[in-house]
Amino acid sequence: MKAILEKGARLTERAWKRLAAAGLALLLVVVLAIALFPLLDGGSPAEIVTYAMGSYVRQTVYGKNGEEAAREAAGAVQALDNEISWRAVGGDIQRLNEHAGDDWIELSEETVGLLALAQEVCEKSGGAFDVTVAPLTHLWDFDDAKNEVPSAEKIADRLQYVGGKFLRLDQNENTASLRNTGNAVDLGGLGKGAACDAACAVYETLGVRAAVIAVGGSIGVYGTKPAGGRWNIAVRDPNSDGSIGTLSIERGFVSTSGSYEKCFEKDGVLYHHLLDPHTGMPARTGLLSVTVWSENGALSDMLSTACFVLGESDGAALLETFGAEGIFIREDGAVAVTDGLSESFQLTAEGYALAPLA
Amino acid sequence: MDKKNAAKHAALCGLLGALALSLSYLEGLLPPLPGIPPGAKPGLSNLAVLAAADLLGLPAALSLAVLKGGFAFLTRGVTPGIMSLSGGLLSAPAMTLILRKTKLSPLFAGVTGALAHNAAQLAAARFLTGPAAWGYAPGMLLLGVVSGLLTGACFSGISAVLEKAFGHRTP
Amino acid sequence: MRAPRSRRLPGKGEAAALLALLLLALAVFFGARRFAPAGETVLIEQNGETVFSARLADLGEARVLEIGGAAVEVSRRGARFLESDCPDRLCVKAGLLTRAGESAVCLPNRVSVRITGGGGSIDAVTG
Repeated sequence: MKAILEKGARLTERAWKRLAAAGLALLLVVVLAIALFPLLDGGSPAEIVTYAMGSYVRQTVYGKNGEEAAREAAGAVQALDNEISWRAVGGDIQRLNEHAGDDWIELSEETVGLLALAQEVCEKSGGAFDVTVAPLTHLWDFDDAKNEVPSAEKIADRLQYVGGKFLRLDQNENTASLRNTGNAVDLGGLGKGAACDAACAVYETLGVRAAVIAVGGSIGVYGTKPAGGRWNIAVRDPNSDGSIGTLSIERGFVSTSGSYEKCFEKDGVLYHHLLDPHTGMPARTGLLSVTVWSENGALSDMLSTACFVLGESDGAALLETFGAEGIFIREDGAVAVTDGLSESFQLTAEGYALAPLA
Repeated sequence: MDKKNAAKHAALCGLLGALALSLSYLEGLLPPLPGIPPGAKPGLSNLAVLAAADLLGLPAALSLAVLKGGFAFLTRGVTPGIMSLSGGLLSAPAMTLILRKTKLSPLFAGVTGALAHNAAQLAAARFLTGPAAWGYAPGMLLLGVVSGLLTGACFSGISAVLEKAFGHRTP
Repeated sequence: MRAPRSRRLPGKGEAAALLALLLLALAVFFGARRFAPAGETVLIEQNGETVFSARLADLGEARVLEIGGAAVEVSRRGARFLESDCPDRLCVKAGLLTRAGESAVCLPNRVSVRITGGGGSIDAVTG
């Protein structure tokens, strides 16, 4: 004790002050560490909302360059929209439709790639998903407010222009053609999913930490959530504004097709936008909605439409051929989930019950 | 160190060890305080570690922290054991540093130790469960300051007695 | 001779620093409660994995979920540990969680229940 006190006495006043300052600094560091710990788990992400593909585009991007990446991705989504919307004058699809029955048209590699993927889904789904359904969707025109059911004659007339065989692709030359005048393609069934793909490609190029993008009801997640854990995607309840449950995913893309989206009721019958390309009428397969997870955004979008049109058992078989997973919500309130999602989907809404796949 | 001092040293170690364990046990009996995370303790057993840091030095203080961790492990389970150990291993050096290397009072050392203890526990809880643990940060901060002041004051009170009885310090 | 360090009294500066720290801790503690908005979502995690998450508004009357050795009750009002097989049952004593940022952790079962605000736990909505 004597030794240390003597040693202490030998220290100058200045040295004592320095030590006291060091002690204070140490305490400050500890306090700051406690206060700042929560920030280590993420920091605030950049959130921006834009409008494209006939829908809102909501991005949440984590990382230092989040803001820049979100703007860049929004630009990429808009650029894609300008090529693949049938309304975009001078865009790939508008030119292709304009030259139907006329000539082969040179298209961007991206557009041809999407058309090729669409043709594959068309074949494997037996035509349940078909981008050449445009003549029918334009006839029904669920975007306007007229809410009229077209006559059977008109539907039959348009049906003769619908079919995967009318769209021909040359992936080596990046060209495509529609065989007859009256043929047309509409990529509305894959545009939102493809937009998620485009955004995630930007995130990867710019090396953002993590991000989630929602284009309407199509979702893409990128990277690992800063707070840890999986990405939680709420699945909309077809009968309310709330959600029916939550899907927790590590990566990939999710899209939903539901009869509640674009629809109208006439004489007690619900007419919705998910048309069966074989009948020209809204598909009635006992389903309210289908949510599909896939590694590819455009694919998840197409498969959700195809599954709704095919119905539960054929839809589930289709998902398997593409390595995709799905959630089928039936009109009777039963919810069936493919094996790959059984662990990650949590049903939370009341009035529904899980059931085995049909 | 002569024989007499060695004996005193051993006796003091034993005494402080017993003090640490009995305070740990008493704390365990306290009901959870409203607004303060369940499972968090005022950290009164840090009193023994603080005394060891002052009278015996860092090795003894660290040994006490390990002892406390082992006690928590045996009586309360693996998780509380990890929590206690991680807290003790950070707070013991922090208190030793403040007490022995600066002119600051035991109050300050107690507060630093308690905050270091809680920071380590919070980090351990985050690792064991998830981001939910961060919700406890404000409670842990307040608890750390209050219990640190308390242990610091208690230590100032009992140190006179301890020094009279054992009258020696390890430099 | 200098007073032994164990009986050193805090200097003016040190006392001020400690007092400021105490006030800061009090402010943070009560500020965090006072300004915490009403919760919007409930998130239950086990071993760091999300096992349940839902918007409070979507939840109806109380329902009980069995997670590990714990029973968690979720309802429109909030969430709470109803029962747990852990020895101290501190998670149960934490009571009903209703405000954003409130959480209860059952360490022995590695289960945590957390209320977040503004869709914090839901990253996106499909459909």
